[in-house]
Amino acid sequence: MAGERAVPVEWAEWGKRPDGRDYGVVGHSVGALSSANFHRLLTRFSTGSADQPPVVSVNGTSSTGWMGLAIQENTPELDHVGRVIKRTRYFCLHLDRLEHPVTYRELHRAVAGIYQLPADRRPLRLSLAPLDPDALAAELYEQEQAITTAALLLQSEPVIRIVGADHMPWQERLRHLDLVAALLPYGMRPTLSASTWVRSTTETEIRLAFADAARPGVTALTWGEEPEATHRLTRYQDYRTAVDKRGRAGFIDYLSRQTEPLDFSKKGRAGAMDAVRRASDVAHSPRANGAGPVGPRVAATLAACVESIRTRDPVALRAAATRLREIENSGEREYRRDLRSLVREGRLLDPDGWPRDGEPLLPPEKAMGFVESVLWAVWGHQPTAEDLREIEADLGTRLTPRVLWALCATEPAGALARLELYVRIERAMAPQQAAENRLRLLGGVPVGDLVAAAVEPPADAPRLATAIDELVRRCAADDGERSEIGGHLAAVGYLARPLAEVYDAAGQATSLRKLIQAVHGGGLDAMGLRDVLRPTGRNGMNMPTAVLVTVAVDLHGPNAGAALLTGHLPDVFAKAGAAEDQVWFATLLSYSALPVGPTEPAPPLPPPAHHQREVPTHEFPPPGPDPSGAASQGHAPGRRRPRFAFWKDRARWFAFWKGRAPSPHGQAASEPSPRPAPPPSGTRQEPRPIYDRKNMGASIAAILVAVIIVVGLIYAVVSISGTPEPAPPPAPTPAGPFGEG
Amino acid sequence: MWGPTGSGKTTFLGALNLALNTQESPWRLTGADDASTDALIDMTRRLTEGQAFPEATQKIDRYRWYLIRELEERYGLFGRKRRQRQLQVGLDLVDPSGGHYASPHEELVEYLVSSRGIVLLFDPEREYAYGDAFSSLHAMLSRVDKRMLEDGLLLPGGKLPHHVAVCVTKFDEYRVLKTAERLRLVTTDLTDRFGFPRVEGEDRRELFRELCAVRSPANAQFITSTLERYFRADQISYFVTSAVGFHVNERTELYDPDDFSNLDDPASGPTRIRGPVYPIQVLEPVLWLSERLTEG
Repeated sequence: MAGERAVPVEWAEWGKRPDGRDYGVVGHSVGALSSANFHRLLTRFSTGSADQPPVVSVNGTSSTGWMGLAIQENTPELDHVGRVIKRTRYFCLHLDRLEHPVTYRELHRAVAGIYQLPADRRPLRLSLAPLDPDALAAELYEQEQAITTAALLLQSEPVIRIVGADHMPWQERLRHLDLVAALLPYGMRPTLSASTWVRSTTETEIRLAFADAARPGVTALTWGEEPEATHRLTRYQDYRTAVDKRGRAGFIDYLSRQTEPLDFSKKGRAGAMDAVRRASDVAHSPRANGAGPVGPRVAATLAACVESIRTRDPVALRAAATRLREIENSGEREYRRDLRSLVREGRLLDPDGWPRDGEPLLPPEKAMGFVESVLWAVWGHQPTAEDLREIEADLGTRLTPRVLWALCATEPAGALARLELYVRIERAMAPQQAAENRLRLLGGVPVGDLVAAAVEPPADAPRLATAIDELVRRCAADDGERSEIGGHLAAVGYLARPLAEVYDAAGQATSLRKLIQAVHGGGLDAMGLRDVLRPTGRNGMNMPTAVLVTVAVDLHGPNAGAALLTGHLPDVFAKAGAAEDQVWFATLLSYSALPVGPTEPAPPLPPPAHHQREVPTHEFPPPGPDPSGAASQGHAPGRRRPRFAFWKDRARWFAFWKGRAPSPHGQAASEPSPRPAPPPSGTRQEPRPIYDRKNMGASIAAILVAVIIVVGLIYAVVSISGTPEPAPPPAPTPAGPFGEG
Repeated sequence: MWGPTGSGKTTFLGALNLALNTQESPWRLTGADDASTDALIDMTRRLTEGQAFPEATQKIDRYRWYLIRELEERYGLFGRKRRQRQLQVGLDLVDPSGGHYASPHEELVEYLVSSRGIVLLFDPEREYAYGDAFSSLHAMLSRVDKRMLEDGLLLPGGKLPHHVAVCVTKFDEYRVLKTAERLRLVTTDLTDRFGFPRVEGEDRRELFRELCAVRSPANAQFITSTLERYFRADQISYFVTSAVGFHVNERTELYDPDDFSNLDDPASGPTRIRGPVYPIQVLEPVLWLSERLTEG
């Protein structure tokens, strides 16, 4: 405040002497304002006798540009009937004398300690610090209701009484009045009268005040409650737009420079709303976000934060935090490294670790807001999965609940980030809180994205478990979504491969069973079996894992062998490159004609195709009651089935198997990407490949033998058990009411 | 409410609710809005629990109360049937700071122009000290008369349309009571369980005239004639009131003529209420006004 030019402040005292009967001006300065001026001002804007002083009120004169602040307090004196005599000190200054806008609290700070007014009645000379938009903007986050109040003041010609704030100390009330005034053009100050309290029954011209009750005809606002109807008001929405576009500090700064006198008449309010709308035009704002690179501004502000933490200066820290909030979601990666080094240096994400003498630099609720500001400024409002890992690295530990809460207020970019964030939330938060965030984070993620995020390498057990839980939940919640989920899962082999990387066989089986049962509603029929075990990957080169086959067979039940033979093996051979026109393939299929059970008809034999090089689609069994599941392969009628060119390209395949040539499908003949090391505690066994490209013939032969043995065994069992029991006769249908059948 | 500073306007209003209770009146008082209800509760509590006077009015307080009672109504052939009915009288009371009457405010003039009933409080103690009752009364009436003349609101005879309940306040003060006793205007209501003194009927006007002359005999003539010049005589009624009432002897539970003041000795410090409050003739002016205005 050093260097501020002192401004003249005129003053008056309002009260009564112990032997006096009525209140009035008992002393005043000699200056531009006379006793009658003071009397008129103080009676017009009387707050009534306060039950709980002090009462601080502000008022002014629109025509002459005076703004005054009155402080009503108790005196130790009693009047002739034993009532405490109230004394009101009134300080008045002309706005033209001010070099800069000031807040009510600054004016109060300057005069609060002046109890002995000059005996020579000269005006006071006071130095007043300028209004700080950053500090006000920071406070606005704590008292958002000020926006509603300001919008209502400009909506019509209301007198507003804020009720339900009995518990609030007068300092908080004065802060609220300051915030409301800051949201109006500065030129309205002389006409804005406000008070930290008024007597509800007093007829006063004070426009905005806290009160015990609201009288009919005034607009009542309940403290801490945002009336829904207000939010539909045009002016409220204009305010929100301006605040959002301009930033709080920028908006307040802009309005504080609007010094053209305005009152609360219709014309004045329209002028004020014009100023609010103009503030929305970011081109007017030197502080507007997006003007130039944001990174340097963020870096400067973070450096200020680090410095204020080091010097333990909470005021500077709050101001810097506000500036951070004003900087809209930087997201500029080129500055990320510098910003992260500042975050690490100042431990900005860990307020509990800041140096302290006694009281923490920021109270817990403000520390929360600060961490949020830092996160938003450095990583933006849409952190990616990589950002989460960066944050964790800069924090030096797992994400703390405070950071997680701050991240919950963001919109993570992509399913992977959402899954990763939720995994951390589930680990650190209470189940109820985690459940709420689950819905918010994962509820709207498309199934395809969710499945893709689950299989994203490297495989991660908690991420997979979370994705599976979410998919199971969706299956249970919505039958219609099952088929979509099933389709996406089938495309990735029901997550069997990533599961195999992180779980042992038992763990894989548990997860797969849960998933398959959720999608298929319990057991697996032949079509489901084929769907689950369908080869995946590019050109279907990924075979189902052993655990997946085991689980699928188990879920299908006793006829799994036949189902495998008719449903799964054709796929296997087809993907392996075998064409249906091969003799051994048709022969294999012919075994499926064996009786496999009383409830499941044997699949029809495919027509002989020995001499066909290409097999038209219409020669396959028609879709419908085809237990082999051939129809589920999705070949549209009339479309030519892709021809298996193994035989034709056998020379190239051979070279591929030997590792000397690219695959006939254009794949590089390199080994698959290296798998991450299995978890040390896992007892997982490496799944044995069903076929080996180097020993394809032997593999096929082994499978054939196995299938023949299985089919033979089934046949033998069925033969030994004799004719299946006839189905019990249907229960008689009751013909009428009980007792008449 | 009309009266100079310190004449006891707010205390009069605060005593209204207590008067209903102590007189076992069929009426009850209730607030018409939250602010007025809170004020009613606060004033009653101050007078009873705190035994203190209500806070001084600094500008203008406005109270909206209802007087409510139950009535039994007869109907049918020869009125043989009866039914209960609720009678509700709205009281829109404006309680200005006394200073407003000393230098008439336009706001207060507006209130008086728009009202039809006035409770005019006359404080003999103040009149004895300052002698300003006539000047403040005349100044305000002149302004109201001018405004009503301009607005064409005067009665056919040219008088103001208000009903005026003139209340001599502070009947419990030594000099007021002794003046009434000296003039042999004091009676005792035999049905009153405490035996409080009263001034009844035409004697009230007589006492008013006498008390107006405490400062200057000329004032008595001026005040009464001013009232009857501006208002119709049949629209003026006189009452002798006390908001805090007389002290009741704790042993006999009766009015004690030798120890009647219900205020602490002023010599021992600021005045406080000594015992329970039994208002005297506080309810009557309001009921009289209600009755007359309802008839009108």
